Formats: sequence, structure tokens, C-alpha cells
Amino acid sequence: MKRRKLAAATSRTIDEDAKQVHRALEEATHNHVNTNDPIMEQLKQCPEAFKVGEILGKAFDSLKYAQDGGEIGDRYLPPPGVVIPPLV
Amino acid sequence: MIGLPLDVTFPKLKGIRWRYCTRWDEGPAAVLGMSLLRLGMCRPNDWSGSAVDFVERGFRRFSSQNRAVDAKRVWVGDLRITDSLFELTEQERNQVEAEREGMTDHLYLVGDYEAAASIPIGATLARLEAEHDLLPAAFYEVLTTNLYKWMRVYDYLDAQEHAEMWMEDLSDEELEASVYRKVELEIPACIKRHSKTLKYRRARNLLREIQPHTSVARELIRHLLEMDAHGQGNEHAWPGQINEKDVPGIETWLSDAEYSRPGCLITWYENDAINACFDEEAQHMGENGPCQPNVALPIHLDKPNEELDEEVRRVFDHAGAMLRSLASAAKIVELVRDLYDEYFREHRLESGLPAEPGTAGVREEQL
Repeated sequence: MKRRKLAAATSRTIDEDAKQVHRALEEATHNHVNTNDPIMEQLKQCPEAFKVGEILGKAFDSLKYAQDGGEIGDRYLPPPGVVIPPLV
Repeated sequence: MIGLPLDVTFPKLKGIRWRYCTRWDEGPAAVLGMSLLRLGMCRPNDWSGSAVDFVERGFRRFSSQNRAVDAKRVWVGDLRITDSLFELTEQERNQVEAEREGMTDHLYLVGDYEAAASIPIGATLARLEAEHDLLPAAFYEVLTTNLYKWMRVYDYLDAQEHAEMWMEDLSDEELEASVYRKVELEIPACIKRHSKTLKYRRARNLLREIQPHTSVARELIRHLLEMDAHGQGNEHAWPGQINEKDVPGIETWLSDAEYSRPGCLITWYENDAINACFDEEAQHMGENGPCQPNVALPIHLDKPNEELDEEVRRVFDHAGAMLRSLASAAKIVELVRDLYDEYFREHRLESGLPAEPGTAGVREEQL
């Protein structure tokens, strides 16, 4: 009896999760900003991450284009969209 | 100058994605993602906040369930979901996106090979012939018919075509010395005798009926019949089958493109005349435009949910069959290579090492 109740509850949770994801995907089709992005949630809880991101962004910007000795327009970083495997 | 260390710590964010996509990518992926979720191929816990990630996680699981790992042991290439049939540079992509009004209404499942897998089949055919006179031709016919479902196959027929074209301009003396003449001469008798008359259906029936004595022949036939079963009901999804009505502009795209790169090269033995013809052709592949992908199936995103789900299921069924079939084919190719190596060890013609050292025993490049 208890097991049956548990199964029903699990199934309901899965359905609810699926509906929630379906709604988020629906929003994405209209180019809406996703407010339930778990990464955004984590960033909200850890605002220092923004500061780190900003510093890293500036460091990368300085590398983005050729410095002394390089040809103008040479990229030092890959273009957006390129997938780089994470360092383990 | 060495500066003082910055007072910065790197916070660790759990589950962070390593890829972020533009809105151009997210919209179509979200439509496909909803369909995959309805079909049960994606799960709610695949959601990380990005539609592209969501689809990718579902697609990875799907590929792994359909033995992609086994297939990858032999086939060098990829199966991808993309919004373009050809690879674009960043600039070309930006131009396409700028010209497009709204979201793309098509995605494609594209299958392509970066290199042709070598299948030196001569030794295997000799082994099969010892079992039954018709077995080599039956095996060859069923194997190539099934490989053709998923890729362009380069074999002695392509080499013959290439050789005939070049032999037209050769003098008798040149012909005598040329490799082109060898293409015809090197075809094993067991294939030459029966290739015209032994067609796929009869060949498959023969494979089912013949009971080989050796375990390696039994293994080869078992994997081949397994491969054949996975491919049943599927035909090669060449990009040329996509019609202009379904995907406007496809005919222009395809007319500017070259024929697909082969996914495999079937030779009698390595560095034979087929190999030589292939090498000549491969040098010029892709010179006059991008090569068409080997497999391309469109997914029309602008359909009502039910129709979209049906199409997505059909496309993924095709992809699943392809992966499972290629996984079985990989086992066959590994056995074929083992038999070739075994034959090579027993009948070594060129050892790869000179019997006597060259002049002064010094390698040429060091002089």
C-alpha cells in the first residue's frame, strides 16, 4: 500500500518536472530569458563569481587580438561557438 | 615585473555548462527538445537551463543505448543534429543568420565520415571460400549492400570506373606499366565468377543456410546477419533525396557540392590497385566545393506536435538503426583485419625491413 502511494507520488513528481521543463523550453522557443536557469540561481547565491568572471573577461579581452608583433586582426582566442573540452 | 597576487578566489559552481549558445541555436533546439521530451528520449533531469544542452544530453544517451561506442572502434566520423547541411565559417554563419527572418524551421540529422575505414578483405574471402564456393561472393554482397545504407563505399567497382577513365589516354606501353590494368587483374576469382549473378536476397539466404566449420567464419556470418537485421527497412538517406519543396534552396546547395567522401575503402589487400585508385581520387575530393554529407535527414520544426513527433521518431529510428548496424559492422571489420594480419604474418612478402643494409648503412635523409 505504502509502496503504491510512493510510486504514485514519484510519478506525479516526474510529470510535474516534465511540465516545468516543457514550459521552460516553450519560453526558449520565443527567445524569452529563462528565469529558472539553475546556473543563474547559483550565481545569485554566489555574487563573487560575477567579479571573477569580470576579471577573467578583461584578461581574455587583452588576449583576444594580437598584441605587439602580431598581425592586426589575428585572433588569439577561438571564435564564439567553438566547443573546447574542459580541462580536467 | 611580477605583480602581487590578486586577492581573488575561484568559486566552484556545481553543474556549470561548458558551452553557451546564441539565441539562434536555442530556439530550434527548444522545439526539438519538447518533442524529445514528449517521446521520452529526453528526461526532465536533462534540463540544465539550455535547450541545446538538453537535446545534447538526450542525444548522447540515445547514441550510447544504440552502441555508438562499439561503432566508434572502426568508423571515424560523427552523427550530429545541425541547422546546416554543410559546415560554415563564423562569418558565413553570421551572414546566414542575419539574412534569415525569424527562427530556422529546419534541423538536420547529418552523418559523415572524416576518414575511410580500411577493410582489406582478400584474406577473409579466401578463408570463406574454403568453407563453401559461394560464401565469399554472398558475404561480399550482403556486407556492401548493408554498408551502402549508411555510407558511400569505395571498392573495386569504383576503382574500375576510375581506371577505365584514365586508361583511355594511355599508350600500350604505358598501359602495361600502369596500376590501372591491375584493378581488373586483381579481382579474386571467387568474386568475379559470381558477382553478376548472386544478388542480395539469394546471398542472404545462402548465409542463413551455410553452416561453416570454423569459428571465425561462423562469427563473421553471425555479425553480418545481425548487421543486416538492424538495417532492415532502411534505405540510404542521401542528401539528394531531400526535395526542393521540403527544403527550399537545397538543389542549389547540392549542385555546388561534391559527392560524399567514402566511409570505407574495401581492398583485397593494403596498397593494392584499388588503394592506388582511391589515393588518386582522394587527393582531389572537396577541391571544387564542400562534400555532401553521407546521411542527411531533415526535421521540419514548423509542424503540429503530433506530426513533428512522428518525424522525430522516424529520424531517430533511422539513426538508431545506423548506429547498431555500424556497431555490428565494426565487429566484422575487426575480424577482417585480424585475418589480414594473420595472413600477412604467414605469407610475408615485404618485411618492411631491408634484408641487407643500404649503402654504408646510412638512411638517405641523413646524407
